[in-house]
Amino acid sequence: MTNSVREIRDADCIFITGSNTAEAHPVISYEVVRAVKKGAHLIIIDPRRIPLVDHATLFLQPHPGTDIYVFLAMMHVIIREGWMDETFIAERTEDYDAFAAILEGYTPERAALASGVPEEKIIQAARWYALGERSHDESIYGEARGHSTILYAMGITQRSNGTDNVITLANLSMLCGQIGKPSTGVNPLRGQANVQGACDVGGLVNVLPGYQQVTDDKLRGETAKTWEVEQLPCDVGLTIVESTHAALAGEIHAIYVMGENPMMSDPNSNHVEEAFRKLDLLIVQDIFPSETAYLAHVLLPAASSLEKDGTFTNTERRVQRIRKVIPPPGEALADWSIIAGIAARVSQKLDRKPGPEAWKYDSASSIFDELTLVTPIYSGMSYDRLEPSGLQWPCPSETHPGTPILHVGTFARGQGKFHAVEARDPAELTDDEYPLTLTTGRVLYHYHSGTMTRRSAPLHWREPRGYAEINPQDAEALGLKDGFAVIIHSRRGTVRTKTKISDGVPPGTVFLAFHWREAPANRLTQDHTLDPIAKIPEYKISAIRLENPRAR
Amino acid sequence: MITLSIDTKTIQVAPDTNVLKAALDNGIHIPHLCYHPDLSISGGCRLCLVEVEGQDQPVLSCGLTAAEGMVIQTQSEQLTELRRGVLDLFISDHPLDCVVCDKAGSCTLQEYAYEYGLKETSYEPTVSSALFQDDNPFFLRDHQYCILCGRCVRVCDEIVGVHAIDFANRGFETNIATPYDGPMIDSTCVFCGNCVQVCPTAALMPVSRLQRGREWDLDRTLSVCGYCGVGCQIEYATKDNAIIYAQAPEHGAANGTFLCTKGRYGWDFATSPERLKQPMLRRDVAHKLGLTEEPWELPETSPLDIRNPNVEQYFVPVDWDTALEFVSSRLSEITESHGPDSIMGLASARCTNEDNYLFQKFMRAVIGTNNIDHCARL
Amino acid sequence: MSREKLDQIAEKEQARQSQFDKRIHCCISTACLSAGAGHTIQTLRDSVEAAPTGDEVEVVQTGCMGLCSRGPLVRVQEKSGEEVYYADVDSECAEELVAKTVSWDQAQAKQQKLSSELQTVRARLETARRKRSLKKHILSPDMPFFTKQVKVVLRDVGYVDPEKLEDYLAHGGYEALHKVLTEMSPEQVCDEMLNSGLRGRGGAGFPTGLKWNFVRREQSDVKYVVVNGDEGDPGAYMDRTVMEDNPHQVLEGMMIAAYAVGANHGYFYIRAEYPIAIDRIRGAIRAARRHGILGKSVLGTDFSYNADVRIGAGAFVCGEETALIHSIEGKRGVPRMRPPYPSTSGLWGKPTVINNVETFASVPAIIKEGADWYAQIGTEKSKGTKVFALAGQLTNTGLIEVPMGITLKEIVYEIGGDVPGDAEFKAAQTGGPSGGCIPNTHMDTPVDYESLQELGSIMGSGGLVIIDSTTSMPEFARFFMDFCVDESCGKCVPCRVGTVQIRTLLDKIIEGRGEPEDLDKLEALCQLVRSTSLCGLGQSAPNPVLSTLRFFRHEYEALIPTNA
Repeated sequence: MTNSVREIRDADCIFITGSNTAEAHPVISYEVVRAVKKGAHLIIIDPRRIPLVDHATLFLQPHPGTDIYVFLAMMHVIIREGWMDETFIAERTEDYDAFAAILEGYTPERAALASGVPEEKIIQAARWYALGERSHDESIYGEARGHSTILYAMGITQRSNGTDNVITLANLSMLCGQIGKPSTGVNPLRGQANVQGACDVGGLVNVLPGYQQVTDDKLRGETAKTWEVEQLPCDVGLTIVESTHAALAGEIHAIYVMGENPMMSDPNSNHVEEAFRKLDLLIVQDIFPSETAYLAHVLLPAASSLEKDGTFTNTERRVQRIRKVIPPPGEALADWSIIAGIAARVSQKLDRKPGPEAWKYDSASSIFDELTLVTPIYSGMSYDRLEPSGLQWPCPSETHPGTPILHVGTFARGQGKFHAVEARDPAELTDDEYPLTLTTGRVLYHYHSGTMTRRSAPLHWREPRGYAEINPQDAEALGLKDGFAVIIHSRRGTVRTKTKISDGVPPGTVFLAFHWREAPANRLTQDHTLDPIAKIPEYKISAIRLENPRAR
Repeated sequence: MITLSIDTKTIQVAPDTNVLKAALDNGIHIPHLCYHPDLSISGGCRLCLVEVEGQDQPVLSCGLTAAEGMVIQTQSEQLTELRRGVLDLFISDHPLDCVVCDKAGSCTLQEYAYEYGLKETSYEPTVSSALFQDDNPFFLRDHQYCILCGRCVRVCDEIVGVHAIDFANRGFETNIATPYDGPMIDSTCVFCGNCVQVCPTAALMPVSRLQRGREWDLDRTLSVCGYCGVGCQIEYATKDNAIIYAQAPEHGAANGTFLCTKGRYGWDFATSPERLKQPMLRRDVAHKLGLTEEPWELPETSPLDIRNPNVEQYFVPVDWDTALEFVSSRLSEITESHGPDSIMGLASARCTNEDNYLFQKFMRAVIGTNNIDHCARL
Repeated sequence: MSREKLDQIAEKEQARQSQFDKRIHCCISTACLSAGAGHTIQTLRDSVEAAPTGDEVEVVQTGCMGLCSRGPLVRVQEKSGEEVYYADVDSECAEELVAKTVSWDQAQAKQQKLSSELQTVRARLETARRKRSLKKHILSPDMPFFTKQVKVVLRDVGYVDPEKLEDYLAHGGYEALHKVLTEMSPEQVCDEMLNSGLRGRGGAGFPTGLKWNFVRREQSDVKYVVVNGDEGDPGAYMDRTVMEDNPHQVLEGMMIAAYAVGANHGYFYIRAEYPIAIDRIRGAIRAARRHGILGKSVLGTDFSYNADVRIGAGAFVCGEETALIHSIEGKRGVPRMRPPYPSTSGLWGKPTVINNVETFASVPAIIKEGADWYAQIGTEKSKGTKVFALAGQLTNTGLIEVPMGITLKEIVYEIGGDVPGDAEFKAAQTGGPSGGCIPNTHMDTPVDYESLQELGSIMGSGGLVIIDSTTSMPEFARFFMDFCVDESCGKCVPCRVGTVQIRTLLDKIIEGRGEPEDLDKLEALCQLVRSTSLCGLGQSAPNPVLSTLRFFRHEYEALIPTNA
């Protein structure tokens, strides 16, 4: 997030797209509810009628995959009506003209045709967002232009044009000067406890800790020096989905999985399984024997986050302490301790510098101290300084208070750059054989592949089994009633589950969460066309067909 | 800023601050049951009365906006008399079974009864509502202990935005109800338990804590939720190395004093019997290493289709040394035979920065590959 | 519609009415209806039709004439203005009345063919003509019940047909509205109210002009006017009567307020137990809309105004203004803390004038006759008149309007005609469940806001219950406490639990289980509830107990066993 969670309550206009906030990030939805009760406008753009729509002052429901037409048309309208922030554009951005030229073709008429969203709603959304208008009561900011914030999540990123979507939202915020101030910004709501931190500390194929490119010799050299190694690999590695393709091709021989369940969470599960079965070595380090574990050669028992010390970095870039609440069961160990053990032995066997002694860490705290040496955005942090509420990066020095809001006064790269983006269609469109669109996501009571929540008694009681949400129209066409069995087919596979007939999904769209091992949604999703830059799979759009088993 | 005086202490507050908040923020305690800093003002508990210079009658401080030069007294004989009287009425409609109550020690009504020396009510004890059983495993609803402060109603409507409960009936028969007084699961309730968090008495209690320990027996650890990325701070109450209940701390950095259902109630997975408790080798691997006698082959059934997964059918437990030796020698062999880029590491968004940092350092500095990714996109 | 056209309607109606030599007014207000006025008016109409002459007589349905205990009431008004009141007019009496009102002069006989039914009626009239019982139904115009009253609010009530806008216009209706719209600025209207000394008739007595000025000065695009018709005190029906019997008068007052404060929309909040009032107010709104009195361009000016009716759902507390606002908004009807007052943040958070029915009904007369005229009625601090629903153990009960400052003695002995039978007047209870009992030793107390308060009671909305020596005061207090227990909304603990505990103590005392210290305990608890409750309902709930404890403590003491 460019901004902080607790600024949302003071926003004048909140624009949510591709985020089922009340179910996937409930505590952020509380901020949204508070803002709306105080008079903020809430614009929601989503193919599903998500629970937060009850509080929305404007709801736009585009057909799946067509939201970018709506975003582009909003900007078209903003420029046409002169609602943009010309001072901001002039002083803080570049490449505006090329960007604006592309928008000329994206009229609201065209967007309405493509997305099914009425023109007047697009115009209304454009006005409210651009000018930060409220439904009632006064803004706490008391400025001519109210403060508008964008919240988004996987609904727009897990798409074959996910990067374009994100760029478009960034363009929208710069166009209206809605960035670099409190209660504004472009705010991805990150879905996992430490997904931000895992990225920050180098858990990505192209960057070392602190987003330092692996291809940059100088930066790589500096990290190597701190680590006392001769050299570090300079080629960008393989992402998760690419690595399964590579395993099938015989290029990847071993996968070491820590705290993940790709059999449930990666697209095209049948394909993943095939790849994993081919491996010479599959190491699974986890707290439970997950679905992936049943293909592993070795299982390493890890401590859960309730059983160890360390830090998590949240969606607003806040690094916070986690603490050992209870002891780990049996012989389970903290992940870092297992890794250190393996690393020491492999160092020895491969005779790597600086040798096994370098892998002796006595606590999470000592690892954090080392981490801050190679992660510039964390430089000023220490466990002591993280008391009591953590610090938001960048925090480059020991006296730096952290950064609640990014891009104040200047962007990280200097001027904010408008990237001209064109609309693109999803990779897999519906056809006669697969006439419906499947979209995946989460429900309130479960998390991710269900490894933890489905073993929690109260959560299980409330939401014991999986279901596919189907619009009454589509259900009726197949003679399906609420609670009936239904079979879902895609080009990749088949899943059987129960129906939940609901207006929450529009006609033509089916929703299935990916928590259910008995109905694994990712047997249906595609892994052939990823976003070309982020390499993210298009979980949100797959062409499917429904079958009513009673109709056989 | 507005300057006022409370109990002779000079205090500066922002405009539109109410006197109760001004006092509490400055360490001056005024008794209150219905006021909560994140919720709208109710004014129903009548305890936060103060004296304002220039006004004949005591005034409720929660509904009084601080004004320049205001002079406030929070303690006086008259105020003590009134508060004591009001508390006396509260406890006349509340079971005084503190000796067995799980909330004892953190019950605000109990605290005030103690402070004002009320051992029992001077009136005819008459409990207005009956116990209400709700079979949900998240929280217990016991109307007998409800003092109708309405915090739960307000948090549900104003913060969570689901408005699953509200006041029903009127007068002495007033109670908190779902639509048609049905069970919680049939209402719009999302079981976030924020009502439980703000409840000052034992009317709403986490089921997990019943009969599991008194407030003063519990240890508290502040940590961060392991689910989504909001990073809610959670205070875990434990006893004998077991979690008794979880709640939000008073001032969570991102979450303030609120949580969702997963954070508040979804921690019991940690003690599931299915947890991996020791390293394990797959039976075919163990056989090859001479650790088992039975030969074994990985079944063709997809792990997604195994009906009742039982890890011991597939794996045998080994000690850490065996496991680590196996892992490190296989990784070394494959690195040497197929090159570092034949190995892929999947780090985790559920592990700590320290875990992930070491993981990627291992992959890069020891194995020698940038094939390191995690579930950021999933 | 323009003023001229309304004047034409009024003149036409006056001309029509002046054709008749005699007009027979028959009250069809709730009290008389329940006494059989429906039959009475039907008999009157049939009889006039069947009479040999009678084109000179008109039967008019009107509102309340005051002496409700003697209903159905009928008044015969001569062209000269002379009036005779008839009480207890049943069908038989109605026939005799018509028989003796119409002329039997053959020369004037109308040309008609009677239906067989009317021939029967004619036959009955012939008989009735010879009866001699009418006299005992005549009420003397000199009886103090009539002469002691001063009618401002009720001036046209009982004369105007409530379902006929033309009749209201013929009585000078909407002239005051026209006057403020064309001749006065909003500020002047507020000043006029201030100068008149009119205070809120809902009970608290806040100066109306001051309240209107607060709302007028608020900066807001939307403001509201709300008529509080949620009259709930047991035995009180002043507001019901005005709404039922002259609905346009209330509407006109409300519209003057709207103009004065800058509101363009308003609501009548009427309790569901008043179906006739709801019908008549709705009828008045419809008629006013049809005639351009409500709507975009009121009386041809650029002032626009619309009004709607909202019906209560049976909660006494919804008469409290903040609870009433919640109820209109569709929320649970519970009061909230003030400030902010509705004048700053009322209906849907907008500045709102809320006054009760009688207050609004006083407004047109004040505008027409002037503030000075109004201010000369009443006392120094309590100006004008007050309508009371006189009830209890009294010879004459009904609806009266008296100048502020009249003594209780005058009301009880003169207007009320004393307590019937051998019993003696013991106390007067004002202000309903929020009020108190004034003992006969304070009969010379002038009835005004301050004097009543000094005696531990309140003016209230106008309930006045007379208690005679046969009534036990502790039981009387318990009756009202039962009412408060039932009607407490439950939001604040002193009212929710305190009233229950007061009643428990009263039960204990009345049942003879009391202990000597219980009276002090009762008094202390009453004081606590009074000083710590959230809204007026709770704050005043202990008043009936406190005032009876003050003046009739011996009755409580007598209930406590001496050996205890």
